[in-house]
Amino acid sequence: MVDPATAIRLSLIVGLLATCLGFPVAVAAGWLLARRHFVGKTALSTLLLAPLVLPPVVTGLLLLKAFGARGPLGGLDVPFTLTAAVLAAFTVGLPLYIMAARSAFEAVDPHYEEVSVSLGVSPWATFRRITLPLALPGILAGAVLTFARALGEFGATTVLAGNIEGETRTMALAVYTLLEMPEGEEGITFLAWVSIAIAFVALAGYELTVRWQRRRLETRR
Amino acid sequence: MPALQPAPSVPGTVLGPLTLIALSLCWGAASLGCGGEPAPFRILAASSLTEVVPELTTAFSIAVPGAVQYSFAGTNRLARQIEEGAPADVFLSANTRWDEYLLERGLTQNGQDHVFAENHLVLIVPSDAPTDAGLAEILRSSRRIGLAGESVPAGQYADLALTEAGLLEEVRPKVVRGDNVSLVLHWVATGELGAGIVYQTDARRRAGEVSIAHTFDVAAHGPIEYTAAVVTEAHHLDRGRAFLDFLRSDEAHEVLLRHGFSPR
Repeated sequence: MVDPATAIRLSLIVGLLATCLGFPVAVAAGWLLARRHFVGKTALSTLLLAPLVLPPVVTGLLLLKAFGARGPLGGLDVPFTLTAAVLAAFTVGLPLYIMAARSAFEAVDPHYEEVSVSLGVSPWATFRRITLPLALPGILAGAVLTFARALGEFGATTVLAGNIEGETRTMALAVYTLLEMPEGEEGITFLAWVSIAIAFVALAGYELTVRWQRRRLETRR
Repeated sequence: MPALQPAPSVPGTVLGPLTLIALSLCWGAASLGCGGEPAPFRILAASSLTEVVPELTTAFSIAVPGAVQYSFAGTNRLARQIEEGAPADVFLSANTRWDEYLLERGLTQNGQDHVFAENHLVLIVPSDAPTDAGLAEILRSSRRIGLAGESVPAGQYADLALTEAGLLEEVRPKVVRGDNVSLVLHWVATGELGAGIVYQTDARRRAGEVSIAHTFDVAAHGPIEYTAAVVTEAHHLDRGRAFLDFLRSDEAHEVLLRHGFSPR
């Protein structure tokens, strides 16, 4: 009933999709929070970062309220699908992503942008060719964290996506299910080792991107 | 977070008091965690008893005063916790298998008749859906069907009941496993799922939002019995035994009945 290999595959799919979908959102929100002052900025950042503080089960319930059959977005038919698992991972991972992107943008000296614009380069081209490349390693560090968080996601997923073998039963849910079965020991051990391996790879990736960011900003200074 | 900028230096005058505050907060939190008071009377109870146990203990505390703590989880997890030596006095199980498991290992003790209540398994639908179509038709017409996880008793009973009805293979692709019965109840009550299988007592908890469309015959899944046992390593053995006796009192039976259980 519980297939560890399927769970690993699902986890990787969910993690990668949440990370890819989060990229434009994190870049836009991170840049906005780092570079712009506007009415409601605190409210926006609070809203975006809330899933970091909320218990994941609460985040899941709120998502179910929004995307549920009787919710405003019920027509999208999200609950109990792979999309729901991705949405849950995306939502709980987004705060880490945005925070990383925000500090990455804040670390880029605005002077470069001013010079670029004064030389007649459009603001959009300046962002694409100066700001984004300089901030990219820091944003990628956020991507790694988001991916890692997505792999560990449990609470919001169980509520919004259920625990469906082959569809939404990711690694965390598979371990949880196996834990309650007398014969689950072997699968748990296997999944635990895979989780540890992925965690090490992800954290090493995080460390590398952080160093890359530091080097890049130093050499340009 | 990546430290991309050097942190602004904090003046020493601020740092001192801040450290003090932080330290005292930590100390406060730590002392909250491990007070010197005697261990409270702890009841570990199956999730499906969540609503009834506080009422039972309130009545019990009048007879035998003292603080009571309870913790709820799936029976299987509670059994594992007791096996690992978690501090507990009484174990209220939602199936006899785990009760026997602990009993055989000498981890719990109880008398001959340790079954104190019975429950029934029901098919629920959202309250705005028709209930008279019959089990097979409701299951066929629902796009998704909620069952408790295959490792918690409620899920196992549901699997047995559906197998007995010859419907399990047919509905399997539509099954959504909830972490526990309460989640299945929530999904049906909010109209996420067209049908779900829960305990009769759960259906009563949200009677306004779900209706019972079918009550499974006990023969289909075997009796759903709740057992009570005293943990061998309990801090309060006598109080634990008194609680087991209390469960057989008229007072306890009245509370159990009110919540939809059949007392024994």
